[in-house]
Amino acid sequence: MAETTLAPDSRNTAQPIAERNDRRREPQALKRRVPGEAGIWAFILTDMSVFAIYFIVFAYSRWQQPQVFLDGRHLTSLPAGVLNTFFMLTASLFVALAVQSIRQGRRATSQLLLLGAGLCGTGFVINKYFEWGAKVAAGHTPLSDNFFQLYFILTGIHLVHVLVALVVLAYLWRMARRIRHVPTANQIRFIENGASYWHMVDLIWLGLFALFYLTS
Amino acid sequence: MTTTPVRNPVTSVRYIAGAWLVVTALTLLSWSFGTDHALGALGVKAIDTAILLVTFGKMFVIAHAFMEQRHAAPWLRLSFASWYVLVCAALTALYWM
Repeated sequence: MAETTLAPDSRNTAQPIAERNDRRREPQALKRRVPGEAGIWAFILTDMSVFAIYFIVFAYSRWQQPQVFLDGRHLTSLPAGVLNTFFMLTASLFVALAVQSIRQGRRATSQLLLLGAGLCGTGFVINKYFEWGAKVAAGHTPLSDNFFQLYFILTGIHLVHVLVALVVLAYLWRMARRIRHVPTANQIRFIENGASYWHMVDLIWLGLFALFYLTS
Repeated sequence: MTTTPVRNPVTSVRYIAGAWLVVTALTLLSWSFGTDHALGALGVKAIDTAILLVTFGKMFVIAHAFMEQRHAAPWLRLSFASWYVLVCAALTALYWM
């Protein structure tokens, strides 16, 4: 049973002191919040550190062989890269909106948004399949040169992350279906974990897009 | 004894959609940087640096708006900020070498 203390000199004596203090502390509590669990952030930061090393390896290799990398960049398909960036960003938009919908108990909307995110993610995979296919058909394989070796390895590792994230989205969709009126704390935590992972995959793609498609 | 209920921040649709518009606009901006005809007016290294800065700006928006870093604990925000600064600085240095 909750114990309440009333303010002795308050005009509104019905308002407990603890409740008023909580209200004062509320913005600070929100500021210090960790979405999902601390463990998922340890995983995300580790994954991002590994990709940071990949990015630096790319830039170092480019410094060693500037002409190979300049030629390679001209052979990448910029429209395909832009389309994939659009898919990733839009999927992130849907996932972020789905998290808000789930918190508000709007199950049907959240499921629709997660489905939209899944379709965008699938669009990314299909586009990547055609992009890689066109490169291989043109004779540009991982064995061609250092640029294409890194291109296939790094975008391939990222593609595996996208596939894992799609499985996570499917699981979130199923979980959203099971929510009755208000999600439990565990359900919210799991959904925040999955959403954070998806956004990390999006964030890494932005780095790959800049290095392989945009910089000279 | 009283207990403080766990509150989850609810972000407006307008805020999230606005963040998406910003990162999409920045992508189109960096696309125009990435085309060869833009290379003539400015130095190649300056263009590459601009592309990298815009990219890390987009990453910040993703983390801030979508990953809810604006509500996150200081250690988490600091970890991400360190990542942006260190990786962007390392890449820029290698591009200027």
